[in-house]
Amino acid sequence: MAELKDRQIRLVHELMYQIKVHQVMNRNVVSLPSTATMREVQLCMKEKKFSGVPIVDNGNLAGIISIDDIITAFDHGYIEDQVGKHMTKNVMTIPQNYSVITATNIFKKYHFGRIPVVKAAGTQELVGIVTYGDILSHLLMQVNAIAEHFETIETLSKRDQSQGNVYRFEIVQDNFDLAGVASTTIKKYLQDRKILPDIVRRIAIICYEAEMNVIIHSLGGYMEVQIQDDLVKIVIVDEGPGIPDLEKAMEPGFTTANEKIRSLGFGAGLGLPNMKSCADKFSIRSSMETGTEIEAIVYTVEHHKDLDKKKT
Amino acid sequence: MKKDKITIAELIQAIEGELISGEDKLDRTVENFGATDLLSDVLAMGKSNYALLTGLTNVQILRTAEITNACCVVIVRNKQPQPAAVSLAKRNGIPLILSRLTMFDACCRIGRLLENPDGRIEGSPNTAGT
Ligand SMILES: Nc1ncnc2c1ncn2[C@@H]1O[C@H](COP(=O)(O)OP(=O)(O)OP(=O)(O)O)[C@@H](O)[C@H]1O
Ligand SMILES: [Mg+2]
Repeated sequence: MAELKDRQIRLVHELMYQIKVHQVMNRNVVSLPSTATMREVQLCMKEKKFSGVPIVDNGNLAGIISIDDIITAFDHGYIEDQVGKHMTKNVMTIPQNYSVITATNIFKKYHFGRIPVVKAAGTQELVGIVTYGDILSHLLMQVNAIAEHFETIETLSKRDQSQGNVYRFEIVQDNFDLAGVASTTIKKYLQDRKILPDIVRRIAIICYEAEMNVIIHSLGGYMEVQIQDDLVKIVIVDEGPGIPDLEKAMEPGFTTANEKIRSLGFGAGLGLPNMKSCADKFSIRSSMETGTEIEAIVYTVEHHKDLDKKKT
Repeated sequence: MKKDKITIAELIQAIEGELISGEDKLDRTVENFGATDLLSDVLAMGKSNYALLTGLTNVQILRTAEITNACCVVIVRNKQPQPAAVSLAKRNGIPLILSRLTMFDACCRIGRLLENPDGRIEGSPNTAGT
């Protein structure tokens, strides 16, 4: 467990280095040209509730006006002047391909509210603007995804100790962020056992299609994968609502998936037939009362398959 | 003479790609190609060691690539991958490549590369497509 925490902390660090400014920055920068008046900047700040507005001429950053500059302009009575001569000209910028660590360090050191992002080091071409909040919320999202990932693996390894070769995964309805984590984890276990790549691939596809179906079409359920000496058995059970017409559901192209599912790249009605063709044995049962249950078997040693074929 | 295998590095060059992850796998060979926005199709395609070209940007493109033994993933049309996709690609070391070309143009470039014996890319006509 302690080791797990260490790994998580290390991951957060790695993440910080890997996340680039362009992934978190805001691309829709509100800016004004240097011919604008201080008054115009002030109105823009008021309207958008910003504390700083970049001044941009022909796409290039020329300077920045902060709320302090506006207050001084009121004090000294030059609020109707053009911003050109009153703006801060040597603005600290950050190139978009820099790590957010660099941005964080600038925020810490200078207490800026925002840093203008330029296209590349040495240019002034403004492509975005980044705040500390942008970095923080992005990071939190990532850490959350990783923490969930570790939780899954942790539950899994507990199961591994107690049940020998049975791995069980809970699958949550509509949880697309984690869709496929169970299947990719299983795949790693199978690879560790030196099962042939093509067989591992078939098992992984069955698991993944099944996992996606439970996430997309059901109220939730679980997947249990049993690794035996000569075969792998996959059982997927969900809590409903069941499939009204199984024969139809097994036809390639039949789907009830909606537009949202299709926009994610799924919902072609190919999952069930694909599972069947990847499996050596495949059975599906569904009831409108209890839900859907699928059992698939893939032989991991070649001769079993041949024996089976002779029998049929 | 036709080539039937190209390396990931050659692929990147052909489609003017930007590599985001998997820097250590540049000299791996690509044996097959799949170009689609339908992951269901990719799963049923039955190919391994293929380059997946897609207009999708979600984390599922990488999970699907991992499940099906794809060797790299290309996002076309200058789209930015979702952060979760980038971090998964980095964690798993799968080469994730961004290209500003359209799907059609990217496929044409790859086709030309496969046809061209010395692998050099000639200037491309200004094709329109999505
Ligand atoms: N676990 C399930 N619970 C309820 N209905 C299901 C379940 N699995 C599949 N179905 C129904 O069967 C249909 C066909 O499933 P299948 O997996 O073949 O295609 P799909 O999931 O719609 O699309 P694809 O798998 O290509 O992304 C689904 O559209 C859905 O109506
Ligand atoms: Mg499906």
